[in-house]
Amino acid sequence: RELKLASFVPPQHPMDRAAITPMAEAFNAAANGTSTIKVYPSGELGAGPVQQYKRVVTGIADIVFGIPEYTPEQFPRTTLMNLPGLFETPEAGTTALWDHYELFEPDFAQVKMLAFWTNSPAILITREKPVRGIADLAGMKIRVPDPAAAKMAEAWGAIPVSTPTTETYNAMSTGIVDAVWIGPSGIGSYKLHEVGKYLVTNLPSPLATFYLAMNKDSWAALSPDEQAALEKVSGRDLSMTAAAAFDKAGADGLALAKEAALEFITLDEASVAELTDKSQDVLDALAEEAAAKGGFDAKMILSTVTSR
Amino acid sequence: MSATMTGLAGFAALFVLMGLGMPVGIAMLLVGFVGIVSLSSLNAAAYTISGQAFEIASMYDLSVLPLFILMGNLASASGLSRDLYTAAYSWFGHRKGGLAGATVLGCAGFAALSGSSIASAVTMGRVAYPEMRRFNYGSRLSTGVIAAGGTLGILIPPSTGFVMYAILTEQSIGRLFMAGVLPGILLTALFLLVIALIVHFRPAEGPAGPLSSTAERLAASRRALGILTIIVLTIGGIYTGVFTPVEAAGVGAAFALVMLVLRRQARPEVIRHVVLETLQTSGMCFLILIGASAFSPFIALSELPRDAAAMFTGLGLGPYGTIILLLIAYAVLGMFIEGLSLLVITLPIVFPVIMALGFDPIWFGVIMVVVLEMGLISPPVGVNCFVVKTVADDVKLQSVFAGVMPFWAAMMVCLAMLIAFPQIALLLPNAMF
Amino acid sequence: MENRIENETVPEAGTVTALGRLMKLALGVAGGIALCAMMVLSVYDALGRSLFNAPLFGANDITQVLLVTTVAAALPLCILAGQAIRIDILADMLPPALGRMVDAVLRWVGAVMLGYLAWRCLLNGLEATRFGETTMLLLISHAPFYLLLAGGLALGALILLFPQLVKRQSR
Ligand code: NA
Ligand code: NA
Repeated sequence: RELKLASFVPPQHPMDRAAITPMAEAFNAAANGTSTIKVYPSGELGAGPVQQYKRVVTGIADIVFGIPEYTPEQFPRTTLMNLPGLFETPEAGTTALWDHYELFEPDFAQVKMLAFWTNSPAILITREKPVRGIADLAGMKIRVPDPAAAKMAEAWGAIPVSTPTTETYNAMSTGIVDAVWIGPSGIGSYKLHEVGKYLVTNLPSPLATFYLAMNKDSWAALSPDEQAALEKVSGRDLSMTAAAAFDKAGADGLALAKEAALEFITLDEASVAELTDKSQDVLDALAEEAAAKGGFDAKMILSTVTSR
Repeated sequence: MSATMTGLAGFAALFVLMGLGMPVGIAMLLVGFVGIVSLSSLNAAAYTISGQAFEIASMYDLSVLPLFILMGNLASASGLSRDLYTAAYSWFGHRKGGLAGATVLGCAGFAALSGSSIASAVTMGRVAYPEMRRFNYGSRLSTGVIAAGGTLGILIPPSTGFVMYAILTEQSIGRLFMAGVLPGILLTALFLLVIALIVHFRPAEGPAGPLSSTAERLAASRRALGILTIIVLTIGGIYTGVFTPVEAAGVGAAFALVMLVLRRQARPEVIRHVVLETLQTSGMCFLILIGASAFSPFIALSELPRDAAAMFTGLGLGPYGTIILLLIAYAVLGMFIEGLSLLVITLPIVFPVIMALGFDPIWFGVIMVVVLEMGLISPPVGVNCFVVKTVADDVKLQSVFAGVMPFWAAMMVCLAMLIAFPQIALLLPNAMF
Repeated sequence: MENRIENETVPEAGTVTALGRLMKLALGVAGGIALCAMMVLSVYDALGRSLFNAPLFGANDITQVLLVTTVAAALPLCILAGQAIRIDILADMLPPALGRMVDAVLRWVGAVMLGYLAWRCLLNGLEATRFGETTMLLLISHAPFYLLLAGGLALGALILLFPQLVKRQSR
């Protein structure tokens, strides 16, 4: 039996190399050919990230790679993790996801979760003006990754801009935006070290979550041995490997930026406190709204995963 | 039946259905759907075709299609195409073959406003053909030059061909547009060379026209400034990165609309015609893309791309041998199958092969578009020649096909130069921003 | 592809052609408005950003749903105008009687396929909320736009079934 794994990223993408293909290869070796996972990269079974969850639930694919922030209404609990400033490393974010998986499980009720991890919190790269405090953010056009980040940027007096990631380089080099707020692994992918001058490392920043999920019927159709083999090559361990891969990609990105002589800025504690303070109302409102819509206790989730 | 056999059967069914007259997009949709049912499941097929149709219809980048088509139609309705021709005519009309040269230049200029070869051939044909006949140009040269010149519409940006290629292969529309600029200029120059050679050996084909006065030339050139503005706004805007391709399309269309109003052409029936034409042409592109979006998951499931890659590597021809073999295959297929359809049908198989051989995807996009141009004018199914036939009622279709042959040869030369010097295509996209 | 450029209208009285004209008008108006809105939006966003430091947040999201609306109107209009690309080299070789039969069968098969796609788009629209399908930033629900697309496809299927609606093409 062939399990179809649908991914919308190309095979060279770091997440394919760190999580998707390694899982498929490890399973194929362990299952002795009774079942195999075949990866269909680059949207071969269907384009784009938006419909990935639907593809796995409806059985277009047996396994999918997905990013919850593209369909926030499907994943109201998980997208709480995108709220800026919760975690400092992918490992911390991923550990929180697995320590408290039961909090997020309702978002994924229709599937069998295989891997669930986060990337590094975003850094801010500016093109001309350094950002050393909240005053510098006023009127700055910032490319933001998601709606929560947009609200935060607004709360700080900046202007959120929503260009697609693929346009980021262009937008920065021509001044369509003054800054990008992006995971550090994106520095290399989008060559941002070529177009930025300053890099702020400790802004309270969002991160993104990722998942590999399996169709429940496809899971049930596996033999107990196959299920055991798949459990062994997926789950928390695979997630931590993927998180570590993001950590390394982030470090590589920062190294590129160092090499390109971007000025690294670490905000002092007072500035961070001021920013956090300004955005707290936004965060609370977003959590409230998500909770009201989804009928769950967002405050509790946030305080549990971050022990704040 | 193995997956590969199912894939091959799918292709066979597709060609039969198309040959029997089913619209290409619907044939691809049908074969893709049945193919996914047999290789996966009915449920998967049902969700795939509907999900993919919506994905295509809501793809942000694809909004360049209707917007650029709108821009071309507005420019055409406001008479901008005639201005270009008139300007070129005032400068070169008095030379031997000058009207034909002016037609090629007019086509190249209008190509920068229109994404379609058919539109370029129709628009310039209506303007240029009567003039060439008036000055006793040969029927072969006068029809051949319009049919061939019109194909520049998909090489010089904006281009529906590049947009389709970009969406199907996940490449940047902006970079592909830029990659078409220099090859477009090169091919325009080669066409002019062909005309010079024709009138050198057969002066009767292209006698000299009247000499325009300097005042006439300046007035005609001034009128052509409107077009120049749109070209600078759109192509220049994309090149410098001031606009994304979508914004360039929107701004270009808006500017063309302003021109239409300023020239007092914005009558209700003109607007109605422009809107309907734009929607119909857009619908044609989207129907094909929706069909292709159902067909390509089927091809991915059939493993044909993998088999094709293995087959081509197995031949041991090396990258350039393989490219040449592919181009010959395309030249033959292009005789029978309309260009955009050929592109969307074959890309799921051919593109992985090209990537495996290590070629640049942007460069290959340009190669593909030139091959499509050749298909547009080669018999028996040469769409642009049919189009010209509708403008030139008095000419036999055979004469049109005979007339385009020298230009077809120029395209071959252009292809050879692109293969020998890929920089011709890659220089501008690599120098962007 | 055969020559489908110069349309030559065959005058045909009756409700069917009147219906065709009405369809064309309604689709043209709906699609035209969406098209125009897309143009205005991209100009507003581009100029607002570069001149006034005020880009429109979520402009992409709005463009996406406007594009679906445009496509929903454009698909049936394209079929109505007989502009769907066709390559009928084999059909030309068939004896006329057989050719007409094949043509009718293919029209039915095509209409059923398009109709089925329309039906599946309708179901997708009804399920869009269940899968949280919205645009990314403004969270505009995909549901109504799935329905629009379904409507456009269903009209396209209907038009295929009534060839007298479609303008005849000269050869
Ligand atoms: Na063009
Ligand atoms: Na041809």
